[in-house]
Amino acid sequence: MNEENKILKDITDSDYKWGFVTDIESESFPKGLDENTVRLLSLKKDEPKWMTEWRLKAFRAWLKMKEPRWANLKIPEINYQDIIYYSAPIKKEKLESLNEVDPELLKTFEKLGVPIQEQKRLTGVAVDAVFDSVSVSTTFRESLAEKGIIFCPISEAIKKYPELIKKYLGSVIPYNDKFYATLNSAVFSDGSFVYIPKNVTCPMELSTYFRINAQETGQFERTLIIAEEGSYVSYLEGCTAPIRDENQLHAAVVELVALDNAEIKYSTVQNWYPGDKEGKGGIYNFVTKRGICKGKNSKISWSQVETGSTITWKYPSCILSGDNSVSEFYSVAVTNNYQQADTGTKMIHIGKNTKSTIISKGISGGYSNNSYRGLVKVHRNANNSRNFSQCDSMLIGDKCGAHTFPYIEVDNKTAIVEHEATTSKVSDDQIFYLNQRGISSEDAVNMIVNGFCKDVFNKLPMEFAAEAQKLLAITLENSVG
Amino acid sequence: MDKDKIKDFYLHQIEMFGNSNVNSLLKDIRDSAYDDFKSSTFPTKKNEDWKYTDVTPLLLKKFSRIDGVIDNINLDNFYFNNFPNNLIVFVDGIFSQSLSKFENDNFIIENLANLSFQNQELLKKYFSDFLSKKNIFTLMNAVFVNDGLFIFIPDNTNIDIPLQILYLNGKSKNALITPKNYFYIGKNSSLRIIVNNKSFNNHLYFANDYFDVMLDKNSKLDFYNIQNENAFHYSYTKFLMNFDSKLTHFSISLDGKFIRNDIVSELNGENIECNLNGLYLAKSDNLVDNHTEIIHSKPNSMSNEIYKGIMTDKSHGVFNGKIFVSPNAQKTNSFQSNKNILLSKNAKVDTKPQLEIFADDVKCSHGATVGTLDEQAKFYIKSRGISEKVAEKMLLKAFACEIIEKINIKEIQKHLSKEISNLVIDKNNSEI
Repeated sequence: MNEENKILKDITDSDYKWGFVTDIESESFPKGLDENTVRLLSLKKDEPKWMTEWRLKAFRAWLKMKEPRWANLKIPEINYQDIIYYSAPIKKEKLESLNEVDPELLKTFEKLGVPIQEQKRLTGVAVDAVFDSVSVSTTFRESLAEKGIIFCPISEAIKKYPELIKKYLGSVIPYNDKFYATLNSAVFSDGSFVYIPKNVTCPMELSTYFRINAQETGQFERTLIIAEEGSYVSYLEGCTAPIRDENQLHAAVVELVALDNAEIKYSTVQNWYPGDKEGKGGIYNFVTKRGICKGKNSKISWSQVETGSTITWKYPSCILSGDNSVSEFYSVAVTNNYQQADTGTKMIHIGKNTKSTIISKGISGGYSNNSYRGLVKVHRNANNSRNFSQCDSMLIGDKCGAHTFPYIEVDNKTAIVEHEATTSKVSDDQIFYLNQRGISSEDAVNMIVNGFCKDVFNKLPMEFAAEAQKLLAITLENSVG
Repeated sequence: MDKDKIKDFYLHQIEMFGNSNVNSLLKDIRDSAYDDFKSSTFPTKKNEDWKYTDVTPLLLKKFSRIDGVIDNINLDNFYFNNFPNNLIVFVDGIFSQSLSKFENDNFIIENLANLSFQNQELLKKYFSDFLSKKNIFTLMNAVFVNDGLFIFIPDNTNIDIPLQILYLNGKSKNALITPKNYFYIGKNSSLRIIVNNKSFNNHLYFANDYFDVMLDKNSKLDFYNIQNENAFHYSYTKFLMNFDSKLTHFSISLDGKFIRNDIVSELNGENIECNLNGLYLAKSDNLVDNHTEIIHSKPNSMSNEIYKGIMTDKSHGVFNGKIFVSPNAQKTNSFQSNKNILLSKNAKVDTKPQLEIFADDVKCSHGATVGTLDEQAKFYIKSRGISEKVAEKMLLKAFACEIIEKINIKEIQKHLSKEISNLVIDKNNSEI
């Protein structure tokens, strides 16, 4: 027992390794949110009138909404008037090459391991680096442009490709969707826009590194990915953020549209500041992610590794409306200390012969609570649709909780839906077995936990899989079950 | 009937009847619930516990309380007649002395309306709060209560022959039937109970019953709750289990226009074994909603839950199972599964198996499936020269077998097999 207590203490003692603050002059709005903030934000970003109107429409809808409270989370009161809704690094001049980028910024990326310089060519990653709210540098755009692929900040896309934006922005997550999504629609600062033309396979994995930097800046990212008929794209999203005391709200929105025979792969590694050992500070990660398999034979797959944030609340979902479309959801969620997570997915089967797979692994340690919440809905006409869900939980220590809330709604007799879930702990036998072979208890736990998550890690792109394993090791540092 | 006014209708009824002519126990139960009933409202689909079940059809009808005993009935077709001398009969929720046949001097069995003063005190001793869960339906049951059954099995008493409690409902039109039952199983004692709910004819009624069951140390209870009706039924059952006790519960819903069963099992000791089994068959536009909750509050206990359903026609099945493991309930083993078969295009099912676990050294798992009969299995059987109908019957029986073979009363087993066979015939007729 003493041994166990020590271990628990060790886990809770391991610090957030990736926290640092970069000093960069930034231009911010005063705190607060009203119609003028929205207008000013839109003006600042030089947006066309229809965009301003769209934001205002969302803002007015948001005013009528209430914060949802149904999740298995304890959320402190959030004062939406106490948030800075816009902050941008000051541009001194127009940048022609990477050399002109603020060296402080480059250093930040280096510490994060963003391969923004020569490494990126080797790793084959094009990086749209989002530093706070404005995209500073977008690389590889030229080689992508040759294929007709558009990969740019969404603010640029609004100006350059208004038809595409008008057609698809809000088509999966409407402006008046849910509380946090609507707030995002009103005040989203920037984000990525990806357009893959017909029959094009994106030659590299597209990646955006997010980083929240200026103090007290809520970041409202908006991502829109459109895969035209027969195209393929893999998109990577990874995040780290510096240590600070103030709680920060992050309400991002991601929309994916896959047309006939298209495939989108969306991977996330999230390691934002999880708060200190007492659960103070840290980021609120309230994200709305939804994809639509609009065309026949289309495919969307979500994979996520969630280790950070005080509160994680996200359900990357998929609407399978095209016949024969396929969707997958692979997730590892780790919570420690006083972290809380309520995450899962929604699979809405509308088209015929649609298939979905859900694999979710939750690991809770310390005083944390980790919930899986998922919906599988089979509509009347979704003949022969198929779902398989598996969600396993692992508990480390006896102060934490693991919860499972699957919702299964089947309205078609030809559908086959399966769900299974287990809860267990790292057993003493397993650790003893590895100890016998000369493996330290800590490595043993790492090994067992990695094995537990293997189904999901296998689905991650190469670089991410490596990073994910590292993150897991750091999160569970010094832990022996 | 305006559904918002329905509560006023019921409140008015309570005032009309008053509390005269009842003993002090019933009066106390009614009084304990009245204020809460007055201030609560009927649930809507926005209420998480009622997300998939719409109570509106129930609120559009008016049901009235019945008084007076009816006892000139031929019971032959209504009960399992293997044990004719162990039968307690309630007609429209009121105890019928002349229809019941029972001889016993080992334990106490008395209906609430005629409960002796001494036994009232005994009941109050063990069930001091008359209502362990307050929702509008249990409150309604309490404010309208006019009868029910009290069973008290003393310590070290084994009752071999199963006790059958027949609730014969719907003799009167639009009856509101609200029996309240308290069972106590003493230390080292055992009992088998069959609660048999039957419709007398086609009269529509609303049965709203309540069972509060206490299993003392090392006791054993088999509890069969069979619903074969043509009406609205809300049933609440609460088990409070002590050290080393063992419960095997069967919730069997064969027919019913609207059925909602709430079962709560609180494992308040170590080495407890709690088995909840369910089999539900839903036809025409029936709704069957099973909600269960198993609470592990002490270490080293085990719970096992299997619910299986077959839905045909336009019926709707709902399952919500919750397993709660509190922080000190280490070494808990808990299994839960819900399996459903949809036999027709218009049938649907919503299921929500739920785990909430706060202890680390536990083994908990749950599973849920929804599907239809396997075409390949059917083809395999047909290729051996067996007709489609028989093949379907075989497969359905095999599906239900997991529950049926756990039943240790032959007559109930036979009855269930027959009901499942009928399902195939019914279904084929309706589709032709």
